[in-house]
Amino acid sequence: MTTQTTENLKKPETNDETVSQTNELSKEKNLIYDYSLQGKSACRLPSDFLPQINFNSLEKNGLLRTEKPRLPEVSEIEIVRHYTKLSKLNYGIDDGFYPLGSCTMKYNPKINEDVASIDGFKNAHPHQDESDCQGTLALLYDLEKSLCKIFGFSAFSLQPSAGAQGEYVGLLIMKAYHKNNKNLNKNVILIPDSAHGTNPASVTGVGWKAVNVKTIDGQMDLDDLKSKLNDDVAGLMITNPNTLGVYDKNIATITKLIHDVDGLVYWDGANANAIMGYASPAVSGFDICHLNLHKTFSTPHGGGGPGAGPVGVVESLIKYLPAPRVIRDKNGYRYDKGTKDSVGRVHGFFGNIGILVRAYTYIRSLGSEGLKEVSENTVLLANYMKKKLEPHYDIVTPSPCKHEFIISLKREKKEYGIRALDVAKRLMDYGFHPPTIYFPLIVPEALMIETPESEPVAEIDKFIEAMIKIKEEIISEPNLLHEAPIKAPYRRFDEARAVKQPKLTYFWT
Amino acid sequence: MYYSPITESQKSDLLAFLGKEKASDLFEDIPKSNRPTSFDGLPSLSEIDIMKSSKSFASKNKNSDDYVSFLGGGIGDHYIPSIIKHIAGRSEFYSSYTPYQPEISQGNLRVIFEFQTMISELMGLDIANASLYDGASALAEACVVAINAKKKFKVLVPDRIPPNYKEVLKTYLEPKGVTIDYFNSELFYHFNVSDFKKKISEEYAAAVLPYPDFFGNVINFSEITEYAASKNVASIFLCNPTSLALLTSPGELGADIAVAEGINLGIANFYGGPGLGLIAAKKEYLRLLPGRIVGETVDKEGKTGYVLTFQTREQHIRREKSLSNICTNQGLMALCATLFLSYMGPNGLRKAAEQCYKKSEYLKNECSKLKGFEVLNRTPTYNEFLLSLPTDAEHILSRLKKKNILAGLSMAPYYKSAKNVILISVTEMKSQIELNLLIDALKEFEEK
Repeated sequence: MTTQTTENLKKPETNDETVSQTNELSKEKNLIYDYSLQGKSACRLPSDFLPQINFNSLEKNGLLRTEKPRLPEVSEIEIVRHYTKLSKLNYGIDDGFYPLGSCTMKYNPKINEDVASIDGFKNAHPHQDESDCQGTLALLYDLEKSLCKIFGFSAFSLQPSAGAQGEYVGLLIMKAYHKNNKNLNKNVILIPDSAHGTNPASVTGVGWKAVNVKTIDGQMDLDDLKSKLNDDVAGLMITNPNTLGVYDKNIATITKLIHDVDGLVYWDGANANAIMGYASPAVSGFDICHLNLHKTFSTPHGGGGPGAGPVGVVESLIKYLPAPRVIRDKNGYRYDKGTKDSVGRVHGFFGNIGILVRAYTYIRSLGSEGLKEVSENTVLLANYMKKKLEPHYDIVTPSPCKHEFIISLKREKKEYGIRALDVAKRLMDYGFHPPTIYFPLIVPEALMIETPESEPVAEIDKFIEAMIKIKEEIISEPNLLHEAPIKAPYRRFDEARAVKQPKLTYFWT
Repeated sequence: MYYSPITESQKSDLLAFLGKEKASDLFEDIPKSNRPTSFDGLPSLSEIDIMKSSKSFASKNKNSDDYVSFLGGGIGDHYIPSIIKHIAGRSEFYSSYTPYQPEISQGNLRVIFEFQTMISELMGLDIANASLYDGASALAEACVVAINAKKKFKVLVPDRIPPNYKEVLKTYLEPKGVTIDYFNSELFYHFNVSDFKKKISEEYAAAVLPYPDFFGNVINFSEITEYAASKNVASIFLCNPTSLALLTSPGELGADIAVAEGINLGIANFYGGPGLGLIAAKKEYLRLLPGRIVGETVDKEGKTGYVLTFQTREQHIRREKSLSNICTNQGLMALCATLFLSYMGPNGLRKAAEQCYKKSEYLKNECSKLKGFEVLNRTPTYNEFLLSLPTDAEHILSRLKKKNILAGLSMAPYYKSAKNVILISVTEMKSQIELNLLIDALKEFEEK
């Protein structure tokens, strides 16, 4: 899809070539299985030089498969064409603006991909001797040091595969800390009501209880927090700036209150893109954090992953980090197997190394100054867009916002029957990926808009223009919104049917 | 700054519009006490310098091109067809987000639907999800599924799963109050099926069945799964997906759930990650499965399409009541595996698996002929086997390394009684010359 101008967007009938082409595509064969013909094959292997060896011992033990797995039988060109077509039914950052709040869909620099494809990195086996992996180990060591510098923590584990796994590790560190300090009754983690769903899910995952704390205009309600503080409180998890795009100015007070009951404070770094060079979670009193390298540090989201969720800690908690961790001594780089206090391993090997290589490349491209400018520009764009949209929509995020802000369509819903979902779908007709919707949960009919620093001002202006136009449509032609999208490759889907009449594989019966 | 499309004058205009003088004015809400103290000093390099320096880092690594490598232990030297990097390198795929907006994400959604189909087919089970982080966390998540299904808090695991997996299992399960009972055999390399069967009892939620195990053994578990089912214990298979075109599927052997590390399905080793966690299960486990699942439906005009479905299982809806916290998965790796399996097809995958098996059998036969060497496996194997050497494994491995052969993985760090034992992995990539190179090199150490 390409970004559309605001003309010609009213009727499904259109002469726009790109769109009609895409519409044609979706009528063709849907799945690679639809091209399958018995006997066709893309694969050519070297010939078998061991014809004398048979499979009798497998067969005798009932281990020889008799029915083939039903994989598609297709030629190479059909594979290439099918997946090239599928790629055109997708929307990536290279296609246009991606204002997904709290997801930080920034440009993925191409050099990151090139560095990650260097054979020395790509073809290294995880069981090779440490002496044969000095390049990768040096890179991991240096990446850890860079993250420490940027966020103020004393050490990071690079093992977690994603933010949610990082949260899990962070909570295990809290658990280990309290166990060592004989705080055996502690089992409650306080979480503001604006938090991502992974936070409470992770708390349950370690066998603890999540308790909500209220927020007022994006700031944590200190009275509510105080009323929930007791000896059972093991710690607090908070995203700062939070999902409303607000930096909690009381953070030093909050961290102190938690420390006073011997709790630990966890910084969910999902929104780290907004504060680099301007706030240090470690200096603000946080004990543990995770970062999402696939957000702040530009590694591709890959249609859902892989990510990387390094976990940072202050000096006193280093011994609890997952092992192994790369250290440096006079002979070079090697793995430290960790102490008895380590919370253990969370990855089968050492983590998503391919992602770590890309993030390291990004940090070295930008340096401290560049990273600071990243935060300045994303915040600048968000405030600019927010102010431009304020005359048209109810914006619940106070000023200045950080990298994102929230529009509530509560009024539009009441007056015109238009919901956040309708606006999101209509934005597709204007050529944009929609923002995050219905999140955070505390805002009714929420549209959560993030403006990554990599967007040109012209693209931001185009989005603003589309939003203003949509506001006019809400009032004058609400049906356009109910029907949207009309220019995307598909119309709205029947999601209830997917559950009521499930079909989860091609051969589903 | 790199990648910034905003000019200084645009910045000034925007700031003026906001009534601010400089960018730092937008951060006045951050108290002084929160400001960083260590931030400055990281240099910014040009693209030319980064490439040079990155190549220099990489040159300090050895990799599969520098050695004839028989290293395995879960990740092998497998074939990666050229099409994979060309298709997975399309930015419409790699720079897209999780397909929450199906109208403009049918590319990803169809790939996941195809992926679910192919993984279910390999495993011989009804459903598969859109992927998990890696094999180790997939095994842990499978145990959690069984625990929630059976409402019991103990799992039975043979000692012979990869050692790193044991560590991950502990990290995931112990905090949930789950007990992991390990089953050890008298001889570390021998698995006594009937002894294991005796251990299975009603108190367990699941029994983990490695297929093949860390030592390469392939065992027919149908008797075990039948017995486990009679005790209301779920059977969780831990597999190598490349073997499943050749070996009887876990489903056929009675698996309830099957998991695997999928990195061997067309994904680079990359020092162990990103990998690809696979999980498949019988239909009855659908609502307990972690992660994304894609289903078929129709749009408003009746056109067939695909959406994320059964989302009420997941953290973004169910929050603290969710059975797993997984959000980000390994989507791009699932695309690679889908491309790989389409390329191989049922016959190509079978041929590759046959070659793995045959080459491994050939090496086993030839190694058995060497004096002082012994193949320890007592059951059929797939592409890995244990070789006992006449002397200390570290010694022989380092001597062979000087000849640019990585003969295998020493078992000494993992098993006390295995000082002389190595795990050899052989795949479809190996030529006759390479196999004979290893045998000739080992001959040097034959007992006189």
